[in-house]
Amino acid sequence: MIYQGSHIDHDTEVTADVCVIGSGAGGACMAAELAEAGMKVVLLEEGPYRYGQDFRHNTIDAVKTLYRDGGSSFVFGNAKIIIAEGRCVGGSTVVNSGVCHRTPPEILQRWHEEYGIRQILPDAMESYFEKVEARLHAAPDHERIVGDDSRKLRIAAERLNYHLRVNKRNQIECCGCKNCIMGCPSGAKQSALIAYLPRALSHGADLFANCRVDHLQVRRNRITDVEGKVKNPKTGKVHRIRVHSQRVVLAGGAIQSPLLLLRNKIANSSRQVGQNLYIHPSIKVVAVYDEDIEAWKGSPQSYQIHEFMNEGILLSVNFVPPDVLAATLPYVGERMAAEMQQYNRMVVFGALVEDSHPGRVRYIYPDYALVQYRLTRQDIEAVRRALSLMSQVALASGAVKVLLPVPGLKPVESGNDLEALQRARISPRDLEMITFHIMGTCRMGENPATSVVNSFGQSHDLENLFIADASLFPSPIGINPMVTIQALATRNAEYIIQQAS
Amino acid sequence: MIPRNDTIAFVDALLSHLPAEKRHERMKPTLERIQVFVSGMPWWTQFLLKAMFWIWEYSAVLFYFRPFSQLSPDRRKTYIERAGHSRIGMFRDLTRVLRGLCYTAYFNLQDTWTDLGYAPESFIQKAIDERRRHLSWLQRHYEQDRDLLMTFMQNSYEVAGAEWNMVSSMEILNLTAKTSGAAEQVAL
Repeated sequence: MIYQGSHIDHDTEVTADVCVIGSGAGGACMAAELAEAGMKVVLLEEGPYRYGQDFRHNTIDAVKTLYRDGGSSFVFGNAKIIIAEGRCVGGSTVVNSGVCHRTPPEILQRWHEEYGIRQILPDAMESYFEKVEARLHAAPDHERIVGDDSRKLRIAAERLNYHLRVNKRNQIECCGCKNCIMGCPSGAKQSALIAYLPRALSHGADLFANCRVDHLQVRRNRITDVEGKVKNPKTGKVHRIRVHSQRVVLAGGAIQSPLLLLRNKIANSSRQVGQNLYIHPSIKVVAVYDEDIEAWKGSPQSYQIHEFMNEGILLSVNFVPPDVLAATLPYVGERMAAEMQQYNRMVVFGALVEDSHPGRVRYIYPDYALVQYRLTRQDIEAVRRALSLMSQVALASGAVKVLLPVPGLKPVESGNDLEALQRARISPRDLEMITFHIMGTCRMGENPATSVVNSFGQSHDLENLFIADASLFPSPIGINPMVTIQALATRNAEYIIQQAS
Repeated sequence: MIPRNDTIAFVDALLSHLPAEKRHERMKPTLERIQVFVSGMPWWTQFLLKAMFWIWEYSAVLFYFRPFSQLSPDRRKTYIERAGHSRIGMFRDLTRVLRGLCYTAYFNLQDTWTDLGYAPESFIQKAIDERRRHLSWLQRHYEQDRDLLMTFMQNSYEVAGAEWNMVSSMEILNLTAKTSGAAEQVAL
């Protein structure tokens, strides 16, 4: 059963075998696996419940309802980096592009060797990846829905002989309407909202939407109660929900999960909660062609260029609506109007850069997160390299010019401009960056002095607390993390079921 | 937050490329979209934005001896352009945030989309309708799986709206595997 704020008109107490906090990639997956194993699951989700026809194509309305802080969260540090994080039932899976990548084997190997994580090597994870991909129906896009922007990326990769990766996406008969980042209106995208939550609900799970958890009651190394508050939009009154639970799964994402632990001053004997934050900072350039592309049609991110993965750079094309694009271009008045008039001829190339140095999440009274993160010199060099590579790829695909969203940098129109870009002075302050992948603030490991949870997401300090989101990652993974989160959640759910039995 | 002279003056300067009549016409909806956008943000961000507009308004006094909203339209535009390239990083940040907020609102208007030739809503509806037709086609070919297919379609279109009627994803997956395989055969 789904309860929304309007359904709650008094303080409520419920009992469960497992209370899952957060309904995104990890939380929903965990809830489905545990409910199917016969456990009584209660899910608490801070965001609203939206589905199907609720998802309209309007950025402002979408960020207001589906994204944390109305899309205004940002990182404090030497660069301005916007944090794009879903805050709705289904979490960020509702607003991502649905790219499904398995964790690179070398990352799993590193986690095993450096952090002593057990049963994480590729062979051990294989069955979980298979299970998740089957659940998500991960498959390449049908050629008929591949967007012209993705085709441009493919052309460039062929001309430059770069390694092009055909992405699998979690979709069934995707119609290519490009509305993924504002929620899938056709129901084709197999987000947690479709692939996992219905399974959990059909096995008796209850979901409380609009419920922000603020208190975890601890007695003798166990969490006994989870408490949250729900505002009823009809009456305006705030009611409390208390869940008496045998086990608690924390899956609020890599900012909210550590925040809850820090706020309650629990599970932090290692002092690692909130540390080791990685964000995959992303940068973009805007390629302009002399023909109409209409990048708002077709499936998003059908391909990626993985040629530079060893440098920690992943290239792709992204759909950016005109309102967001205009906000990031450094022009005013007639110049802005002239550039934006070419919107249908534009393709936005994006690069994801693997971080070299972690940031951290701090708790600010009464209930706020301060995300601190600094781009290092190495990161800035990687960003410059990414700008240069994206420009090169765009020109190779036939672009007549490439707009750089950095004040003072001229558009790239030729090889000479590319060389100039490599010499240009770039201040991190002027970079327009965004992060979609937030990871690693409650990292797993076998050493309780250096990690928050064990190899299976179980807290070293509180025996019935488990974590099931990207905060588990001990290091950045350099690719889209959804499948990694869900594979780990599936594996850790199995561990919980074994423990319970 | 709206309407305030500083915000109106800022938006007016950003829309300086429009003819006066059109600018006047777009001003109100742009300000409304700013209001909607900002209302979704937490209170401290709203406070910060108000403070930024206030600082912006009176920062012009340092250069032109009068607040930003009392400058001529040309000077307002010049001031924004120069501030965007200022040597003072905080000033560049201020310009970027305010310009970003106002342009987001302006380029969120349906009329602006029409000017750009951007019409996603009709396209999205068309794409969804085509998908529906495609699934109907599958349905015609697989009468034996009719019940299962109907459940699948219900799941796909209504998403989690009818959670009590939901089939498991595995059933959907099995069905999709069947229909995909058969669709390939038909195509061959």
